Amino acid sequence: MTSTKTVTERGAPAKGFQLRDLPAAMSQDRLRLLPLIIVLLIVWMVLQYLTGGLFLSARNLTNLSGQVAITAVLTAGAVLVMIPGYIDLSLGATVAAAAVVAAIAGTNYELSLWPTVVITLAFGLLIGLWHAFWVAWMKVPSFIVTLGSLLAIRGLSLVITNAETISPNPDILVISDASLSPMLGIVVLFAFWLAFALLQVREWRARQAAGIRSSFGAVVGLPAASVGIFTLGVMIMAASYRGLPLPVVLVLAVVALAGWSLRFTAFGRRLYAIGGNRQAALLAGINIRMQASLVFAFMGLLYGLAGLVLVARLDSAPPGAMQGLELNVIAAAVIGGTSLMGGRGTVAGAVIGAILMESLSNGMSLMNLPSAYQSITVGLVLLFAVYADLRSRGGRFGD
Amino acid sequence: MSADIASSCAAELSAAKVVGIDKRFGGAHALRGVSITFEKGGVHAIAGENGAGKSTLVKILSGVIGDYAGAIEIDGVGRRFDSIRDAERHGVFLVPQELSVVPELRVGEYLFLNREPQRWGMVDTRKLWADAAHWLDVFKLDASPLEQMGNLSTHQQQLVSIARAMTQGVKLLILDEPTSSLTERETELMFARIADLHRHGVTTIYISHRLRELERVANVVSVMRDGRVVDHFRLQGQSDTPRRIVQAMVGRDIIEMYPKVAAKVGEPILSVRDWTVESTGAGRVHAIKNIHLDVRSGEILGVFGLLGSGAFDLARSLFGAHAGRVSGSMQIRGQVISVRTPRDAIRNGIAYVPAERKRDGLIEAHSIESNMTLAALNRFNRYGILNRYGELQRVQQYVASLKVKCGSVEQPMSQLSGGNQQKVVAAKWLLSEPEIFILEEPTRGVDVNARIDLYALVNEIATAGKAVIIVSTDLPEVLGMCDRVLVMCEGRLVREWMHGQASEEDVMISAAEEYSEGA
Ligand SMILES: Nc1ncnc2c1ncn2[C@@H]1O[C@H](COP(=O)(O)OP(=O)(O)OP(=O)(O)O)[C@@H](O)[C@H]1O
Ligand SMILES: [Mg+2]
Repeated sequence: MTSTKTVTERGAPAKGFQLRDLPAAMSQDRLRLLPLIIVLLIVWMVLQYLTGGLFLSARNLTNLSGQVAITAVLTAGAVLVMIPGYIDLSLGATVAAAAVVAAIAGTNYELSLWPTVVITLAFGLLIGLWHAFWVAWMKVPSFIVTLGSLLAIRGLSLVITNAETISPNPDILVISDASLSPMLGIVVLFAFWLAFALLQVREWRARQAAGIRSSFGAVVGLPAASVGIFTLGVMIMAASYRGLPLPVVLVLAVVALAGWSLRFTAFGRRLYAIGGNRQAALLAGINIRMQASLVFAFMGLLYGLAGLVLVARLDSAPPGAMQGLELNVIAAAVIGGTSLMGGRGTVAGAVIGAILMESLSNGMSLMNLPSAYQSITVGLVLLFAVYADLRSRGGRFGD
Repeated sequence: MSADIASSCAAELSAAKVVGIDKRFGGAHALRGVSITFEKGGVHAIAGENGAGKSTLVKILSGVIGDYAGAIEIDGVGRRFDSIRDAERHGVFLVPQELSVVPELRVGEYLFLNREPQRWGMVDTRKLWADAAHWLDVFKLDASPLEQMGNLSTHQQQLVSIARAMTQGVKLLILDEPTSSLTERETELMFARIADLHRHGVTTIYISHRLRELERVANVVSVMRDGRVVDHFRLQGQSDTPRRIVQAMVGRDIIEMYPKVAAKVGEPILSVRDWTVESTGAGRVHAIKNIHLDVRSGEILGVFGLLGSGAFDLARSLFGAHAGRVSGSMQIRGQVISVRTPRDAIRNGIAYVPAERKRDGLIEAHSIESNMTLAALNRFNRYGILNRYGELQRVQQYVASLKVKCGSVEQPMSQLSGGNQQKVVAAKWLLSEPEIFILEEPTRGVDVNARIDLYALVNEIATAGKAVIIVSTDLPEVLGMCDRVLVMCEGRLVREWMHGQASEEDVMISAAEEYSEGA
């Protein structure tokens, strides 16, 4: 039976990239990142110029990477939460609470590094499961559940610490101070890039085998090149300063895990489906309760992880730290193309969004601008990013 | 050329005229210079293959799509609508193929949206509800003006939309596949109501794939193919309308519309006893009352019923997706099972193609490929990673065998025409390789040619010794494809026929019969 002529010609060799394919190609999520990357590079150039070369110095980049780490880790998790249509407003409070737990475990109970790490992660996981219980089993909207946590857990930290800042066991500082040696760092980064490129090649070959016309450049070339440039940049930073800082390694690990599970596993597909049309997902036999629970549990582990990085970075655990973090994280995810309605978003985009936001605030600190200006800038960036994204989608606004 | 045909048929009075309409969506050329004249007061049908451009044409005509080449004339005046509201102001109303209403809005509020009766600067709610009740009555709609739109069936929503157009001085009423889940009788009633209300003046444009109903309600037919008008004729004096339409549509005769292959019917696979389903809507308590049902291997079982007969409730409840309380026992191959959620059903090898494809069947923003494999992801799960080779192969296979008209399988579903979306939804469940296949309106909005491919796949399933249940309002389809036909009325099975034993009249009569106790 011959197919209609507009059906993709089977087995046709991939033709070169044609200009009229461009809009269609650009509408794919992978390539949506391109404009964002370009904006990021422009912002870096401008900041480099405005700070008189300070911004892109290896020293500042290492500093920036420490700042980015917490936001990026949480943003990667937030994407997993937002794709099925949930939201997490508790981040600032829960991360600060995890930091408090880590500090108390180290000082009051004199636990060494590893037990502290385990306890902090377990604490985060517990909060995550608490959210999962209320959202998935008791069917309370995640907005309310996590808003409740935002208030209650912040209060809890203040009660436990008597609103005083606790110092952690110095052991824990290793989390922000340790780094992989430049050599090892480069090997890790290269492996990261290679794995990514190979997965893209696999995707491309699967398409070729199925006779789907797609260009090598769009599926493998461009994504591999952009991730390549990114890893190369981190490699140069690693080689020229103190090696690859542990927080950066953690970010890479979390990003790889979250990104991989979203793009290459059935679990990820189902998350998108739940956000895209809950009813249809349910009728396709998807266990929404289980999916939601896993997502919130994972997010819980990230509270713990971010708390550890925070306490190590500050060398203290102020119970009032990280106010408003949740909004920054959501903003970063949205700038990176994640939809608040669910069904759409990528980890890569969200991480670039996080880098963009932290770059702005880092650069503006270097320029000694008060933080009020930072929040003005970030607010406007968020607005324009979302506007540009909606516009490029070409759909009519719901007027 | 097409312009000549159109103008030769045009009467002196034209309600609307489109001239040389051309529209591209990126690479896809949806309309290639379409010219049609719509006569005043008539019912003008548009037929054509899936993806021929019918919906695109009426969207342009009604201001949904503002960016196109060509000209539109309404009552002899050139117009270019930049919004739906603009079109409605000039009396052009579209009831779209994928109707989407605000589910929270009440029926009365929706009827008078943007034109609420005012009194001292406030909405005159008394008048609002009274007027709404009046209109619902005129349309013999069994709904309260206070009911939320979301609780109505698609058909009711369509009727409310038509009523809304009627109250606003409609001149050109466009119905894009309004009857794809109505029986012929209900379709005729709907058109009778429209005609009653406006013996003079209102022109109706009407799109459908059910060729035989076109014959009954339309005066003129235009047939589209690949973005062009390829035939255009008056129905008066035509003897064999469906044949002529099919010929224009696909370029050849279709001899057998329902290629039934009789498979060997074996042991019962699915047995249901005392199946009772509580109704979720207002009115009756039970949607289904004490049904016993056996479906055998190799059998295609048809269930037919008018609106509200419970036929769809039966399908949905067997899949564990009914919102009402279900009681009774179910056995699969002699094994007692309990199906409380769709997940249970799928685990037991049941698949279900829902009638409401937009709400229940597809994820519009997502690609064809991810929609198609959603129910069968476990099949492509290898060491925790999706097997993209296998996945894409299967997707391509179904895109080709069902002739899904698309640029690439990465296109979002929202860019497909209605019939092509339906094919993807059907393919999604074919891919899960079920033991028991429940299909609600499987060919809703699918053109005659592609239907035959879908039927062939259903035959294949039956031949492989699986059981198939088709619940459909398309009576010829049920009679043509099923080994056994059950008729439902008021929540009960009232009659049963084997293939070839019943005529359409027999079935319609028993479906419409008032059920009397002990009959
Ligand atoms: N937003 C869009 N983006 C890209 N292509 C589109 C879009 N809307 C429609 N198309 C394409 O335009 C063509 C015509 O679509 P249209 O919906 O008008 O078909 P139709 O005749 O109504 O078919 P059906 O009988 O299946 O409803 C199809 O090939 C479809 O894929
Ligand atoms: Mg259509």
